[in-house]
Amino acid sequence: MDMPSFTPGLLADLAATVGPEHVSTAVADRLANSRGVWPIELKQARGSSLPPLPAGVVWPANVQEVSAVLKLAQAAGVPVIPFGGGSGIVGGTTPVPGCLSLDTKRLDTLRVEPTSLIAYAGAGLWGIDLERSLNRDELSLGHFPQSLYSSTVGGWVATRASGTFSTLYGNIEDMVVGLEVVLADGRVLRTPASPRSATGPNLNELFLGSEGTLGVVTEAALSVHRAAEWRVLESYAFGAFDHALDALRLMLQAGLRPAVVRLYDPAETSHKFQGLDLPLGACMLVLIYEGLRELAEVSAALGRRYCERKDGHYLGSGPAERWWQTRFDTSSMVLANSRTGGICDAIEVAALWRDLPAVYTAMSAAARHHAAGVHAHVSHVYPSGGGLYVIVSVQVEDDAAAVTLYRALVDDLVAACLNAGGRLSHHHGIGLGRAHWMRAEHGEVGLGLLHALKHTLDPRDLLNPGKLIPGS
Amino acid sequence: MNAPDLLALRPLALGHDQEASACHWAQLTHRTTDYPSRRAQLALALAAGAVPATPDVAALLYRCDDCSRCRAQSSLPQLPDLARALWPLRAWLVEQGVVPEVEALRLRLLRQQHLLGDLAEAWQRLGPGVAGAPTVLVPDGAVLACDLPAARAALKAAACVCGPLALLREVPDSGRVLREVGLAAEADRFEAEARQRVADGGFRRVLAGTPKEAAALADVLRGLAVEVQYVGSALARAALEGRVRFRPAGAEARQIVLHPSAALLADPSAYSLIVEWLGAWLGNAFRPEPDPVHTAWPAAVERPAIGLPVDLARQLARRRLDQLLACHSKLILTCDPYSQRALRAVAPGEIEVVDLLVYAMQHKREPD
Repeated sequence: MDMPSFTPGLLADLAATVGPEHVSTAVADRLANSRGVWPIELKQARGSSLPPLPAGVVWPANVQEVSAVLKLAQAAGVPVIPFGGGSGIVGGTTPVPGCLSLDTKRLDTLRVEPTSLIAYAGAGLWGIDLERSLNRDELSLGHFPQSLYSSTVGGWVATRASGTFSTLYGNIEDMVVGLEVVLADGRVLRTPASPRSATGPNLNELFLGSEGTLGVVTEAALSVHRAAEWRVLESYAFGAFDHALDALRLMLQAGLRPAVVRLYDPAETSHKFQGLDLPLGACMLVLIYEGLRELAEVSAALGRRYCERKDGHYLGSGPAERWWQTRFDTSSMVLANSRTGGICDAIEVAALWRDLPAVYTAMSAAARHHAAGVHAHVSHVYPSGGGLYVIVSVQVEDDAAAVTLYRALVDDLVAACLNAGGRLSHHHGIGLGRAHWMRAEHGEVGLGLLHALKHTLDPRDLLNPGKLIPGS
Repeated sequence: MNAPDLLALRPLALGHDQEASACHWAQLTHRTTDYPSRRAQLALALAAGAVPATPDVAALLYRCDDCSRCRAQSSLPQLPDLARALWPLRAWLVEQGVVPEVEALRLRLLRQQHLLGDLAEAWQRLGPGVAGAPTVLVPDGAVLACDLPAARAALKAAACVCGPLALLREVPDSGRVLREVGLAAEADRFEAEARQRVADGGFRRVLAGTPKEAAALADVLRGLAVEVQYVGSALARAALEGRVRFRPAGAEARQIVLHPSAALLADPSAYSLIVEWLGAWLGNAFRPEPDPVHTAWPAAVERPAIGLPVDLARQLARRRLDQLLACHSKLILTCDPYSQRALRAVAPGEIEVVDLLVYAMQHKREPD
C-alpha cells in the first residue's frame, strides 16, 4: 500500500484551507479516487491487493480553495491529480506515488445567463445534473457522452470530450466560450465568455484536452441551446461500408447536419441489431435529426436522397429507436472486463474521409491478428472526415495475460491507424494509455512545443505528471 | 466466520459508474467513495483482506439501503443488489467488533426482545386482536416503537378492509432490520418465528404496517399460502372498489404530496395503486411527483442508522423536503416512521408531516 508521503504539516494546512472534513487520507477515499475505468485500472481493481493509491484526497469548494490547495502542493512539491467523475478510459487519473487527488465534485455551481444562453457550470457538476437543470428551462447543452451519468463538466473540458449528438451541436470545444482555470502556481486565469475573438490564440484551447496537466479547470462558460422541439429517427441498411461512408460524406459536405450519426460495420450491425431481418454483411446507419420541426423534417428528407443514391435501404425508425433506448448501455463491455482474463475496450480515432476506409481496414486487420473480437462504427462526422470506434475484446486465461495482450493490441491498432493516415484519438484523450504515441502523433516540433508549454505553466511537473505529455 | 464471498459484486464494482449520480449519498457528500460501484469495490477489498476493518470503513458500508435508485439508473441488465450483498459483510463487521452501535442494539434485543426497545406497552394499547381471524396484522416494530398512532391507524384501516384481525405479539415484524444491521443469527431467529407463527395460525392473509415490512414478510413467508400486503395498498384497493369511503377533500385547502418509502417506490404496482387512490379521493389537492422512481430521494435511512453523521442525515432530509415542497405542498404523507421523523425534524412550522394511514383514518367516512 502507498503510504501518504506528504507531511502532517501539509495535511494541517490543507485542512485549514478547505475544512478538516474536506481532506482525507482514509484508505476508502484514496481507493475510490485511485482509478477511472481504463481497462488496465479495472484489471488492477479486480486483484486481491490494492492498486496504487493517491496519498490523500482533497475536496475544495470554490476557485479560491483550489488556488490555495495548488499553492500548498507547489510549496510541498506534491503532485496533484485533478479528479472529476472518474469515468476516463485512458488512465488520465491514475495516481503517482505520494500524489494528492484534487476532487472537483464540490465545484457544482450553475447559473444561466438567459439572453445569450450561456451556462456557467462548475467543473464538478455531473453531466446529467447539468442537463436536467437546463431541461427545466427548456434548454439543453446538446452534449450526451455515454458517460453522461458519471462524468463532470471539468472532465469533459479536460479530455476534449464528444457526445453522441456532436454532429449537430459540436464537441465540447465548440460549446466552451469561456473558462476559469487555476494554474499550477495558484494563479487564476479567467477567459471572458465571448462568441468569438481575434485577440491572439484562443486561450481556452490551451486547456481543452489538457487532461489536468496545464491547470485545473474550475468553471466553464458553455453555449447552450433551446431544447429541440422535434426529432426524426431514421435507419438505413447498406450493402457495403464504403457506400455508407460515401453517403455520409456527401450529406455533410452538402451542409446537412443530423444530430446523431452512427454507421455500424457488418460485425457490429449483427451484434447490435440482432433479430432484424438484414442481409448478411449489411451495415446499419442510424441518423437522428432534431431541432425546429420543419428543419428536422426537411433535413431528414434531403438526407434520404443521399442514402438512397448510395443504395441505402430505408428501414424506418425501428433500428434508430433501438439505438435510442440503449444509447447509454455499456453492459457488454462491463461484463467482459469483470471476467477473469477478459478485456474489452473501444479504441477511437479520427481520420479524413479519404483515409477512413483504409484506417478501418488496417485496424480491423490488426485486431484480428491478435485473435481479438472486433467490430467498429463511425460517428461524430464532419465535412472533412469522422471518428472511428474500433471495439476489441479478448479473453485469455488470466488477467495478467489479458493486460499484456491488451497493451500489445492497442499499440498495434494505433500503429495501424497512424500508418493508414488516421489520428491518435478522437475524444477519449491520451492519459497514460496512449502517451507514448504522442511523438508519432505530433512530431518532434509539435511535442517540443507541448513540452515548452508544460514547462512554462508547470515547471516542476506536479500537475497530473506522466499523462498526455510524456517525458515532461 | 470468514469474510463473505462477494464476487457477484464485480460487474458493479468494475462498471462504468452510470449509477454514480443516482446515489443520494454520492450527491450529498460529493465523494467518489459513495458511488455504488466504489462502495462495491471497497466491500470486495475488505472481503479480500486488502483493506482493514475499521469503523470508518464500516460506516460507509452501512450507508446503502434498499432505495434501488442505482438499479433504476444502471444500464447493466442485472445489476447486483448491492444492499443485500452487504448484509453478510455487515454481519462479519459486527463480529470483528468494529460496529459498537450494533452491539448496543444486540444488547437491547436481548433484554427487551426487540432492538428498538420494549414493545409491551404498545401491544397493550393495540389490544389483543381476534383469535382465529384469517388475517393477521404485523405492524412493524419500528411503528410500534416510534409512532403508536400510526400503528393504531394501521389496525383500524386493516379492520376496515378485512374485518376481524389477529395480532401476534411474538411477531412485531419480520426481523429484516436485524439482517440489515448485521445481526444475522438474530434475524434468522425472527424470520423462523414469524414463519412458524403464521403457518401455525393458518392465516390466509398478512397485512403489514409499512411497505418495507410487506416486502420483507413476502420474502420470509415465501412458499406459504398467504397473501402479504401493505395495509395502505389494501386500503387503496378497497377505496377504489368503493368498499371504504373517505370524506372529500373539499375542506382540505392544503396541497398534499406523498413521500413513498423506498420499499413502496420499489413496488411500482403498489405505488401506482396508492397514487390512484389518493388522486381519486383528494382530487386536485393531491400532487403526485413526476417520475419519482428516478428523482425522489429517500428522506432517511429506514432503519436504525449506523455510523451516519447527524449532519448528513439532516442534509438528506432537507434535500428530500425541498423536492416535496417543490410540489407546492403543505401536507406530506409518509408511510414509514423513520422518514416521518426525519422530515418533521427539518420541516418549517407550516408544513405538516402525517402518516398516510393516520390521515386516511381521520377522514374515513362512517357507513350511512
